Amino acid sequence: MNKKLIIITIFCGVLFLGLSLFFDNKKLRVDFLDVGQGDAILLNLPQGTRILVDGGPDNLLLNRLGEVLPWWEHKIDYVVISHYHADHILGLIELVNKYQVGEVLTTAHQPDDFLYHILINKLKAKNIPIVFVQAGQTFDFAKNISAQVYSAESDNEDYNNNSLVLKLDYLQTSLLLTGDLTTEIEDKLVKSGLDLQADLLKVAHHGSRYSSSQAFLAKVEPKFCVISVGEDNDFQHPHPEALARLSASGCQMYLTESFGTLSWQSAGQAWNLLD
Amino acid sequence: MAKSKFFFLLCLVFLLITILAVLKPEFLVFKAEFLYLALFFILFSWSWKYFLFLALIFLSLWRVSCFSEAELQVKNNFVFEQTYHYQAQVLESNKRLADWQLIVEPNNLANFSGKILVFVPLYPEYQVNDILDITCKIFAPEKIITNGRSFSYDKYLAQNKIFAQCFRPQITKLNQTSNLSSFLKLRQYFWQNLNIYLREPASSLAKAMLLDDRGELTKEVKNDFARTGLSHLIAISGSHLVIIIWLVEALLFACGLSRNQIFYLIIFTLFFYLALIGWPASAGRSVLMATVALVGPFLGRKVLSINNLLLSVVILTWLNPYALLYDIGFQLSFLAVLGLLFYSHYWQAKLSFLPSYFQETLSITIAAQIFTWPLIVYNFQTFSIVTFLANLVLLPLFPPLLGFGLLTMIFGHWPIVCIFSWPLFLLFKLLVVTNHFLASFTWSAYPVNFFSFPLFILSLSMIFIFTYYFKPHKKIA
Repeated sequence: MNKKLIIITIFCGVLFLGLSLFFDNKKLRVDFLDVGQGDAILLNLPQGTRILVDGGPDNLLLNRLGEVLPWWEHKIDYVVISHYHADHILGLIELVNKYQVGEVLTTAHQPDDFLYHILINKLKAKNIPIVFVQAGQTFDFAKNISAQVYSAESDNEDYNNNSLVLKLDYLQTSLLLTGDLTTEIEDKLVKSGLDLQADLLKVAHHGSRYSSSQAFLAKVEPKFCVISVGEDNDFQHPHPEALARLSASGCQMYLTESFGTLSWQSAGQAWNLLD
Repeated sequence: MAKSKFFFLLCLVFLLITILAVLKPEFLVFKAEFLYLALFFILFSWSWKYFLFLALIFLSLWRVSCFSEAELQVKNNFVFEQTYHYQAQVLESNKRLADWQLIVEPNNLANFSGKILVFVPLYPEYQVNDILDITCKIFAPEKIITNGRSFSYDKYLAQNKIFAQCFRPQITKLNQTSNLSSFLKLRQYFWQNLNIYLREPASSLAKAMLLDDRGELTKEVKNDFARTGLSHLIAISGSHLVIIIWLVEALLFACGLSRNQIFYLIIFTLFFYLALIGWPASAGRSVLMATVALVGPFLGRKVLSINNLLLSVVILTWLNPYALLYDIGFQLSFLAVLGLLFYSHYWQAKLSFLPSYFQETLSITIAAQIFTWPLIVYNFQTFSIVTFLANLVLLPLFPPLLGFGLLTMIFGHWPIVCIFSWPLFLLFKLLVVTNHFLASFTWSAYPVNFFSFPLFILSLSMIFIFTYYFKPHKKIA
């Protein structure tokens, strides 16, 4: 290889580095990562804080993170674990090998389950603090951005109902993250009188028929509904009944199986879907 | 007949008989007759030529017979699609994105000899040498038919003595891993370094390029490389070894070693590397070709000749008689080297008006494509149009990628690793982004669905006939 080519290669590298820095904008960005049948959502806050909600069903998470994170980024400030089902936590075990994780936020649910123990042991081995959150807690992650815990139960037999429910507010825009919540807890939330209204909704349990009740959706009034679901999955998610209810609520539906990773951006006024 | 022609014919006979015996195992019963005939000729007529031909036919049949014996026994005696409980030792473990593929050898399974491919979830993890107690339904691997093309998955696995597979079994680990070989420990150390110090997609690409571990590449990345015709970059191919040889040679030369010392050290490095990555077939044939190419000039002979190439193919076919028919990687390697042998200098002369880099890269790319395109089109039903551009643009990244990759792999636990891992990660990102861009055009690869088997044979035969009469390698002067 001659000198000119070396110079061209270095020049391309520097150009790439510059462009990467240029494109790192200062808006709230939410990436619903296309990890197949599971959940993994990356929140990029304007001040640079990064929050990963769940880790998907396998190590595809790491590739999807590589696609949306800047190439130099090695740190995830917070990892939020909604609940301890494999399709939400498996990718996290390898994640902590490759990324520095600041803190893990999760519910007090401690199942006697081998995957749970593998994950917790890994977090302990890496000295990553685990914080058990409680309903009613508020986290001020950045200026004008706060997240409120709406549900963090830990003693339900059905792990799905132990899902951590978070509502993120950024000025006039909001996002509701529901894990794999079923209608049982949705009803509780409806009756609680909490402000459930959110213009961007992560549809619970990949569009299961036992989630997204009409009453719940009526309270949330979502404009955009994102269903994180894998192609030809064994559970036949999303279920037509759930899709009908979501459609009746008036929200525009986006499925990761059709669109791939779905990236939304907000400057505080409205959500925009990025190409 | 000249010695070289006689040798050429001997090789050809060996290969053709092997193909015939693999396709028609009933032919194997005649092996004793060929041995008697060979002995007859040597005892009564002292005709060495006939003796050699007949002995070679016998050897070819004997080798195929030995190689396929266990497979036939399992096929005839073992009852598939039943649940079995057995103990087995893990011989190989390949991590993939969503699961592990374990190759295990059962030790108390009646009527079964050979290996079983076991698919297990990502966790808990198992290691080579673990003794497992397994309960699962055992299936026979079958041919895979997609878009009217059949892929002999059963024979592909049988190359490695894998005659059965089981999915998501119940497993209890009986013994922890104990005496891992030094090579295995070293390989694990290198794997960990590439796993921890690089993020995706760099990590999986580096593991594929340096350790022949492609399990964690996403289908999008693989598809992009297939569309740009650069799949050879993500497997250990001859080009990898040429660059590794070049790097080692430069290092040893800088240390002031003599030509002889450098030669022996390079050969040692190549075989050490091969042992380290577990003697995979693709790297094995590349090392053999590289050795043949290195030994040639060392002995004062031509670098690479058709006979050297055929000798490599004969050795590899002897080791694995199924490879010639059922290992597409092997077929592609052979045809690509054949193309380089006949056409690389011809095209270099034709493209002499171009700057040297473009001249070399384009001539090698065109030469390698000449014999391989029918095989690629037949098997993958696509023809990469963008491949020449992709090779021109992305090949310069290859030497620094391998250089930094080797340094990251070796010095992973040292604090200086970031000096290598950061530029490596940036280079991989450049490779993936550029490759994706080149693959993203609708015209990047042309789908070819009409290319049937007769058309494939016809195309390849025409190319051979054309090459035989045109003699491009003799038209460079």
